[in-house]
Amino acid sequence: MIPFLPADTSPAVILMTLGALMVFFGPRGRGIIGIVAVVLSFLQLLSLGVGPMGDAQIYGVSQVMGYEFAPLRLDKLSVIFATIFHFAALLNVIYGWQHATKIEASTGLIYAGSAIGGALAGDLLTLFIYWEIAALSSVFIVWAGGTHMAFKAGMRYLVIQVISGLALFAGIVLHLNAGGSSEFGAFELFTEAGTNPAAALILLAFAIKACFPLLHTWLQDSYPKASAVGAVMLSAFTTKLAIYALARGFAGTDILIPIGCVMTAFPVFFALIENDLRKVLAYSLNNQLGFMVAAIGIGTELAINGAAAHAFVHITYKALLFMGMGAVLVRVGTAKATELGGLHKSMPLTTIFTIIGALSISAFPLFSGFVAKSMITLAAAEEHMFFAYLALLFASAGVLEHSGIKIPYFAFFAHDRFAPSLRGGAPRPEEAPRPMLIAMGLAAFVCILIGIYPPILYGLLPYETDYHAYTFEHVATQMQLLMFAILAFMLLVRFKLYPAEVRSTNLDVDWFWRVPGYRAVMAAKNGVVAVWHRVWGGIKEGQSALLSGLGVAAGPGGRLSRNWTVGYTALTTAGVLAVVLIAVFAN
Amino acid sequence: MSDHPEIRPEERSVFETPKTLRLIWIIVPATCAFFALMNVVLAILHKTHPHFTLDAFPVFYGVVGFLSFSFIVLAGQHLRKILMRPEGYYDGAEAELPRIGRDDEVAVDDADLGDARR
Repeated sequence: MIPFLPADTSPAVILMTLGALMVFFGPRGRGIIGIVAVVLSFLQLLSLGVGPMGDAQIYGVSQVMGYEFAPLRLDKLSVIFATIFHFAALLNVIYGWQHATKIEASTGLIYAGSAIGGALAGDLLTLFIYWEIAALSSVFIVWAGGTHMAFKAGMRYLVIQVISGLALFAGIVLHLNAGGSSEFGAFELFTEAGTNPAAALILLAFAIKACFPLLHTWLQDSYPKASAVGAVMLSAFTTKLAIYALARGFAGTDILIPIGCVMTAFPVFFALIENDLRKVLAYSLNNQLGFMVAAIGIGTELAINGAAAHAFVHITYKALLFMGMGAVLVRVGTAKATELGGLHKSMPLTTIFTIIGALSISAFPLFSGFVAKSMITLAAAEEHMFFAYLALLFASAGVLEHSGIKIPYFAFFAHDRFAPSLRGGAPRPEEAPRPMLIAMGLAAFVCILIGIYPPILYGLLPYETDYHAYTFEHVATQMQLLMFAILAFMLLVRFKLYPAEVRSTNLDVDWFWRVPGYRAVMAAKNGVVAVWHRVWGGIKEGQSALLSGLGVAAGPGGRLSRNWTVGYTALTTAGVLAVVLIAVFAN
Repeated sequence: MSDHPEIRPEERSVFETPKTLRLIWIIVPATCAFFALMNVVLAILHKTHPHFTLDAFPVFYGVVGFLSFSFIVLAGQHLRKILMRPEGYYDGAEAELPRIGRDDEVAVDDADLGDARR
């Protein structure tokens, strides 16, 4: 389809090459290159075609020392992820048209390319390579946040991402050593011989990037510290690549169901008490990943379809919400709830787009979340998993709380902090810049389009489906859940039971390594330094004592420089002769 | 949707007038009632497909939504007692300053291992 490119060129390579080229151009040139790159790459993806599950189209196969590389594998599961990654990359380019720095624009495209390459990887080492490029390219986006905090958070992010990469590599080596295939397929975590260590390591690698509970804090730590544009870039790729990898490698692994349920539930509470609205979105992202992980654990065709559909719509509305908060950050200089409010009066379009994102993530009928999330809850119900079902319903109410209500309410309504009468006549913040509005509008359009006409999405899903989201029963039950939750919100606010926003830092499990862990490492370092100083000092002291001793003995007036008497000399010669004779005749 | 007594009346938007607020207080409960009723009717007509015993109860989802939301807000805010610290707890006051021209984060000041006399 693209005549000047070799037939099996990877879309990832197109994006990464043009992304690297971007650094030679100014903002407008970068934007144009970005659009061209995404369009070319997507056309290339389309031209490669797509096979059904189990009968993928495979390109570029090569053998190196008995290992078979398959850089391009296109089946319905990999292509739906590659497709939505392209859309996210397009949104990033448009959203960052004016505000992306050179580093962000360039590494952002490389990062998108690495996620697409990872999703299309047919063998384990190719996956590993893209896995690492994703980590390395994205850390620059965190650092581009530009503050001390962003730098330190980027360092922590990098360490954790590299641990994930090492776990993946170790798992791959064990897997290949045990005679496993180089193909990236399904792994058996529990075999008859017990836990499979290779599969466990690979699962750990995926778990870190998918933000499993206790492994999640890198996300909430780093994403809110990126720039307005950077956070949108970060929100789409790493975690969803991990979700794809889980769906490919661990579908139907039962342990993922309770893990997914915990993942949907715990961030809800952290999001409630968090003041930084972009960090609220980061917790919300974690909660959404929980739905996908639970679905992968259920593992039926409906559930895997649900996970893929949810990832697809989630990338769109989560990017939209991050874009809305990014626009606020650009115009106001902060995304903290305590500093915001009343912005609907001067940022009406941003308000509308963010509310569309909020309605989508809350799964209101006619918006994209409704047609995707319900497949996951239905899959749990069909497998008669009551507690999982209840956990997912609970988490749905939680999504409504933090993303559906808290984000738009505190940013755009609540207390009007920008009225000219309160600020000595200072004008209200302006509406978002035009490229940002275009990107938000595009994402909002897709949220509504999929909500109104879900067959667009269902046609892309891994397995054939005749699922219908819009039944009277489903609309009635979902609207009940949401409207009664909104009623609860209104009553809680009315009776002043809803917690006020407070400027604060809220601890998460990363406290353990950021405070006591840090102190322990520093204490260990100081201990090693002290020991080394003593050892080195001892050596130096011994050495100088030896040298000065020699100097005293052999120097002028020293014992070895004295004139010896003949008797002493004869005695010494006889002694040396005796030693030599004994040495010679003893053998 | 807002309460800010200090701003001037002409600075209020349509969403902040008492009339709109009253309207919201009518619309939301009415919508709740409508969908609850709709579910009851569907249940009577046997158009529902419950998978468990509990969700056969027509307003099950309303109850779950209301209770979940209330629980999250009422219980969740107590987490602050354990988890809340002042802003800048981790990184100090200069955390939000740009780090252009500063690279103090990576200084390993006292780890100069070659000199015992320090």
